[in-house]
Amino acid sequence: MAALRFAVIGCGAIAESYYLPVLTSRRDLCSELWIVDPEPARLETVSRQFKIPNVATSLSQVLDKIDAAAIASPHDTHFGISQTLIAAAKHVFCEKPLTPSVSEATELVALAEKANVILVPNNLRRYAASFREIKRIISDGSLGRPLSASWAEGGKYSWPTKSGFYFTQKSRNGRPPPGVMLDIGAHVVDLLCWWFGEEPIVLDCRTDSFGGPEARATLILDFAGVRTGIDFSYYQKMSNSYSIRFERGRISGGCYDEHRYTVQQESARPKLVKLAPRGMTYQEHAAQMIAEFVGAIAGGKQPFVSGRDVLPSIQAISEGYRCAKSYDAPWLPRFGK
Amino acid sequence: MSQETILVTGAGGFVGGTIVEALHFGEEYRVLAGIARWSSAPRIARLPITLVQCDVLKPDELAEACAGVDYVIHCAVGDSEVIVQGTKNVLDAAAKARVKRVVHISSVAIYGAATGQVDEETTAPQATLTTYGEAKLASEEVCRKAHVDVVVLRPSVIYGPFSAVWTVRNALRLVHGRWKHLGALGEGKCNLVHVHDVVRFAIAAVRQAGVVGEAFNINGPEIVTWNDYMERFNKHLGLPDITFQAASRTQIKTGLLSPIRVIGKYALKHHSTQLSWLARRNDRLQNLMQQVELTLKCTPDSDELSLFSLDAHYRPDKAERVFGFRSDIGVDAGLAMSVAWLNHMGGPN
Repeated sequence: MAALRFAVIGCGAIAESYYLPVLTSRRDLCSELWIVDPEPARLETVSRQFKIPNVATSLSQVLDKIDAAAIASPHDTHFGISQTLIAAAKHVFCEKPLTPSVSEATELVALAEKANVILVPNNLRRYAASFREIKRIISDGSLGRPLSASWAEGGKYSWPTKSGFYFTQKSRNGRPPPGVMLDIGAHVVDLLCWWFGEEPIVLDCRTDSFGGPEARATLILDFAGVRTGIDFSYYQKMSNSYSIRFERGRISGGCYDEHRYTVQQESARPKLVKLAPRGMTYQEHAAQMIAEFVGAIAGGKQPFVSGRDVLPSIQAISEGYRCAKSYDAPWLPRFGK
Repeated sequence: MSQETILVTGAGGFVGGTIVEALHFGEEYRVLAGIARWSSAPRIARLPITLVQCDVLKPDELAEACAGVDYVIHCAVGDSEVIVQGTKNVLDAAAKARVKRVVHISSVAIYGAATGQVDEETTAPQATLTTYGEAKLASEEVCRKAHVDVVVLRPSVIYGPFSAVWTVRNALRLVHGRWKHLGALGEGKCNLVHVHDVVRFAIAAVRQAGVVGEAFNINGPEIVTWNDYMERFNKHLGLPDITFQAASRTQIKTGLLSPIRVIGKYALKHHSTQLSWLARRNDRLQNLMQQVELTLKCTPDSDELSLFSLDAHYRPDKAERVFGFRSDIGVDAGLAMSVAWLNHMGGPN
């Protein structure tokens, strides 16, 4: 596997904590590294922090110097940057969500396939040992058909964003900009689509948006009869757990438990299944994902998660936003003048 | 006439966030929501309002945020430096920008362990102020010397939706069955005021005549004991009755946990990365840490125990007389609203 010449596009928090520690330390994956950001001050800080001499303020300055790029910029820039990279026959590793819009995501997938470049979204949860095992159980039918599922995930927002882009986005097409449902949902809805192998129908969607990005959302999906309720929050810790009810049992676990889950067969006692001694760290995930990406390029094959794989989840989230209604919220201070 | 503008500092917090929501829904003023960091943005960013960077310890940011503003409602809170120096910075910036009035959200914590009927003239008995109370008192002193019109509000125990302490933490204690009836330790007066009532006073204070240079206690319409409050809260959550625990046992538990609380706070402040690294590598350690955290959250510390037995009523008569209205959300109505919100949030976790 030959190491690639990489660019990291965007020098915000995700670049700092996820991409750059791996790309600067794994010479087997990255032979030369460029960082690109429109803010010179930010470039300088990151360049100094990671000892990266190759800096650029625009993508066009590096296009002929790289083989691939990791896009770590705000999500509403993913489409344009990916388009430029694919047009220049560069492989793309894109932070999730691939794009907020299904039409844009579909176009990118088609462009990448036509240009014969690898397009990988950073949907890292599919790699978790516990979630892979659940996929296997659903597929082999050992607990029967899944009947319903639930997922609740949230916590007080603490992402060390540099730009605050989630909170400063402008509305698109007359709709509020996306918030927590796109941010966390890009992982969760993708995982559920993968597990149940279906393109879901949106039964209901509620958000607490009044024109800005929502901080609380509920999405009810139907995966060919598997009714699934998903809750998201930026406010405070939720139960951070999931549960799937099957014809002959139940599986449950913690949203962040990548190495264990609990299974209950029929009326037997619940059993904790441990698959590995521990979960992976953030940077171990990054190393795994980038190695997979580089390996796919070297081998000329599709990676474990491709751009096409995440289209159903982007479709479901987009549709959720399209039909979103408000919660009944009697606690709002609407006493006026 | 064009809309007047109100800058709310600490707009991402519990009280500041509720003020921003009320101002938005009230449609009477243009709102600028001042936040020190993006992590406090989610609640208010969902409204179509303007967010401004406004760390009260950064005079440059304050100067920019105050430009063109008619009123400031100052809710930003934090450690003593934020409370005292931050308030001075806000007042200086407001004076320079010719802001018409600043409403400063202080606290009844400035009365320390004063007992009985506490009005605005009461002073704290010597050596009874908490660090927070001391800082709030110092911030009021800063207000008295300001070169801008200031109104000071001193709310009592503010509860309601989004209250991390008096709503979420207490619900957590009850839901986990960790709360015991405190007996004599919990028979102090629980001066609850619903956040919506505080917000009504704060917004009214920007234009109200006859309030500049004055301080006002803001309290709820109903004074219950802490035991009563927790029992009513428990009932609203639909939980089995709270059991009794001898006062001596509660005090021993609080005392024993005190050093663990100090060590835990220190470790979280200085070694949180290492702790989460360790927890990721060992399930037993992770479970142990979660249990310790829950036990600490569910056990009152010594400051709380002092508060729960304090026999004081913060009289809101002056505010009611001058503003011409009173707090009207009773404990049961306030708790019903809090529980509806908690359920919406997925309960206390």
